[in-house]
Amino acid sequence: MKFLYKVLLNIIVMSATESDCKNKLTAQKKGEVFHHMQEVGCCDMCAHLYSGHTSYAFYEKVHKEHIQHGTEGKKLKTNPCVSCLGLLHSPFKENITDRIISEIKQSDNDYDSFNLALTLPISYQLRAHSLAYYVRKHYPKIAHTFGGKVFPWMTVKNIFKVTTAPIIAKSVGRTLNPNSELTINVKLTYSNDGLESSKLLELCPSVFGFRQRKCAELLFSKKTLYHAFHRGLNIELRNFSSYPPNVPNHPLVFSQVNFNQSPMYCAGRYNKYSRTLPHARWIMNGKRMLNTSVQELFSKDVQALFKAQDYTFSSSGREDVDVRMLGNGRPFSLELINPMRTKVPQKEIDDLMERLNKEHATNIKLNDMQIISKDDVKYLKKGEQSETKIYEALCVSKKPLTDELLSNLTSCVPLVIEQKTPVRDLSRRANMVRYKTIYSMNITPVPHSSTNQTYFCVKLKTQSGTYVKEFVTGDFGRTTPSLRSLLNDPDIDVLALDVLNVDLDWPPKKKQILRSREKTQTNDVQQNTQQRALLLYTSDMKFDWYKLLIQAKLSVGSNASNGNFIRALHLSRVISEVSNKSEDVTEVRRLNRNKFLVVCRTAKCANTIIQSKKVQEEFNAFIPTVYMQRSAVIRVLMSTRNLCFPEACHLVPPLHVRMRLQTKNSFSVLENMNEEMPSHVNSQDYPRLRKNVTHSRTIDKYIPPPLSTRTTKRKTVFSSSSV
Amino acid sequence: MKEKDVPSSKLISKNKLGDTMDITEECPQQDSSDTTMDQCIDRDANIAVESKSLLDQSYPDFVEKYFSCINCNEVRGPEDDYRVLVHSNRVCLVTLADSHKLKHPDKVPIKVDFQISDKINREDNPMTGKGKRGAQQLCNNSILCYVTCQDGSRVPIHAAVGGKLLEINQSLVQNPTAVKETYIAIVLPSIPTFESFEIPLKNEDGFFDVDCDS
Ligand SMILES: [Zn+2]
Repeated sequence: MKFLYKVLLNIIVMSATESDCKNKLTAQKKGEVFHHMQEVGCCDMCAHLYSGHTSYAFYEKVHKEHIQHGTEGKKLKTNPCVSCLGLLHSPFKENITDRIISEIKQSDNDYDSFNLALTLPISYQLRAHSLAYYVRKHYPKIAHTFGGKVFPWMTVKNIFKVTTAPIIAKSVGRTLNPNSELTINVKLTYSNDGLESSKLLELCPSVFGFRQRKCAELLFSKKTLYHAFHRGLNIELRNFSSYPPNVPNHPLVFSQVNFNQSPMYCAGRYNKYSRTLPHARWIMNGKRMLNTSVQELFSKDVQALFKAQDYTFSSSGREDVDVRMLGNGRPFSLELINPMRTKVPQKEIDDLMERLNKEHATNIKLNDMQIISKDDVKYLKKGEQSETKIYEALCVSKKPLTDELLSNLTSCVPLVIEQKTPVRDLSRRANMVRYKTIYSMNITPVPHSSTNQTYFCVKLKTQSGTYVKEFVTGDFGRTTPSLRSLLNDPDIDVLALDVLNVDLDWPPKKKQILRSREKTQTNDVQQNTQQRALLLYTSDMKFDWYKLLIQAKLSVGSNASNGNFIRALHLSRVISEVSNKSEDVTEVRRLNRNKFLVVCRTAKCANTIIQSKKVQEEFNAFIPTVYMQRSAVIRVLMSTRNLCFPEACHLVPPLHVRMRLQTKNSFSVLENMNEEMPSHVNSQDYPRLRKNVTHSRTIDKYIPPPLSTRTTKRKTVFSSSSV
Repeated sequence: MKEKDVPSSKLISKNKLGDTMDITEECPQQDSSDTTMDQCIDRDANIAVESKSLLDQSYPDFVEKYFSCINCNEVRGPEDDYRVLVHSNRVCLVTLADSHKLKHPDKVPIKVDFQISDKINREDNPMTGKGKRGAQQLCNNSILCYVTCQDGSRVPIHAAVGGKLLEINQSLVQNPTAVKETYIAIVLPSIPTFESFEIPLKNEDGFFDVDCDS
């Protein structure tokens, strides 16, 4: 056997060198093989296949000729071809294609294109295998075009796809596309399949023998066959059937067809108004707790609308049973598995939404439902980590609240809290510490006649993933600080909690709503930027670089495409005019048609640019808020927790997904904060750490270095970063 | 730098879909999406209204609301009594019962030591994942820690329930007197142990298992 391969290899090498004269030779040979194979019992197509034709175009041509001359099938008697079992020639081919066409026409699926996939019986594989050996034995020079594999690389499936599939496509009025979202699987069976393949069992007990007992149904599969063919069992196998295979008495028969459509995604936002409605099915100790859930209220109906086989529900976070979801709602998406209706008009979705909203008005409300792409779903998952949420909690306490306490509370934000996995969640999640940020906190007392109890509402803006109930109660001191510890009142408790807003602008609002919103927004935006322009770098922010964003002023109502464009030359002239020391400006880079990034070496320079009248007149200049917010939190951490800058950076989770910007700024530590800190930070290691930051890790895994070593290290880091 | 005239809203959604977000994200149009507190409050200010009814009720204590109690008396000898708070999700918090000897007013804890033998330190619990693999196993009479009091006595505290040790209260090391007030350890008993408690569980916890959907 090995010798045979060596010979084959030699032939390949030879043919490469003397290809010219070989070409003529193989053409002759091909004709010879073609006739030989026809005699063996192959149809025209299969005979061509085994004589080594490898181009699709060739088979298309042959097919056309067949149609023109009507010659096909004449040579064969009533028996199907030994190789394709009738798949590629009349009259069996027509039987199969007619069935496929009628099945497609009858189906509910309405997708425009399709891809055809055939499942052939095991017999076909065996026959192809032994025929290939037959050719290899008699015409080794032809066999090398098979590409060293056992089978010829061109298979009857390929030929079927280039010849018959276009005919199917034409008659069902859809296009054929190998990358189509719709795959039509056609299963073909052969009545003698069991008999012929059972011989395999006798030949290769090592492969099939032990499987026989396990699962009789799945005894022969493509995988096990492949296994057998590539295990040096070829010698026995090729003798398995008469050599070449006998002429079959039965053709391939159409058995079944199934439609496999890629999933579609329907997204929207939901509000939840009930305090007894879980987010998903709620099962405790094997018992179903409440008989419905948010997702079950509408998912089935959406599934029915799309005629989908199944669905999976996902949302950006979730809320507890007794928490309401108010505001603009929580984004969700429904993955519809194998939908039959792929062109559901928006109108129908709107109608369904309206109906559901009426039906379940006391429990939920759906908004902005629409079909979205798969990429949009990724954004939902990504947004889950970066978004902020606004909560309102009705709390109760036994002590009166003093104004002093209240003002202390509102001034301590942004606040980084440390939460161990709450007790209520401990049975199903790992026990770990999470650092979450409370961005703002407002307390308003709720007037009440009771003398021994105080009620108040707390409005919190938090990073997503914060356990708010635990932030109030402290969860036995496992969340620090908590409202109980901050107000020094061990009796504070939550009576009710609502989510007021999930800060994720997704899925996109429907267009007509959007336009009206846009107009009102433009004014807000301008106010917003003016407020932000007042933000300046402060002396305690010690970074290597100070960044600014320069943006064109919004020209409301005018032709926006010209009005907002900033010319680079003009901007750099303005900046050099404004900043006294122009060498402090190290980079002016275009980010966008109407946006520039300016990098300064000193805080003073950055501040002068922001404050200068000339810049203020022409542009909006401001410090990126991502930096401002995060650095504010970091500063709080540094002062309250006695941490050094890089340590604090690691504790503050990124507000946004990692940013692409690669500069030497200290902020690049912020941007790649997911990088794990080494347990020993020293001044030599620190700059190196900043430069090669590549992969990301979760913030939870960070373990601060031991307290004793920390204080000394901090000093060195500070001195090195204050240039 | 695309010079196409795209409505700003479209740009936003495009940016947000990008694989990596870059600094262009940082523009005021996008920031307008983070709704201010006041806007939210205006939109759905009905919490106070809805919750008026709640105000007149007497509310249960946080612990009472979510936990059932079982008393484990005389675990090892007299006055070795514990009050175990059982959550409906099987998690147990071990606390001292009022009749425990450490609860005497003249006992002033000055040190809590989790190093219970040369080899075992309860603080060193190599537990990983939600399966809590590698957690220290406890019997109901395993020692959780030793409490040294001002009078020189050294009192062992027992687990009271057997199971996996999920956490010990590390804050006790800094603040030993809190041992009288707060939990000492969190233990996850085995399912048979849990079922043998035979107590009505409080289940208005409001939490549900998301994984059950499949
Ligand atoms: Zn054939």
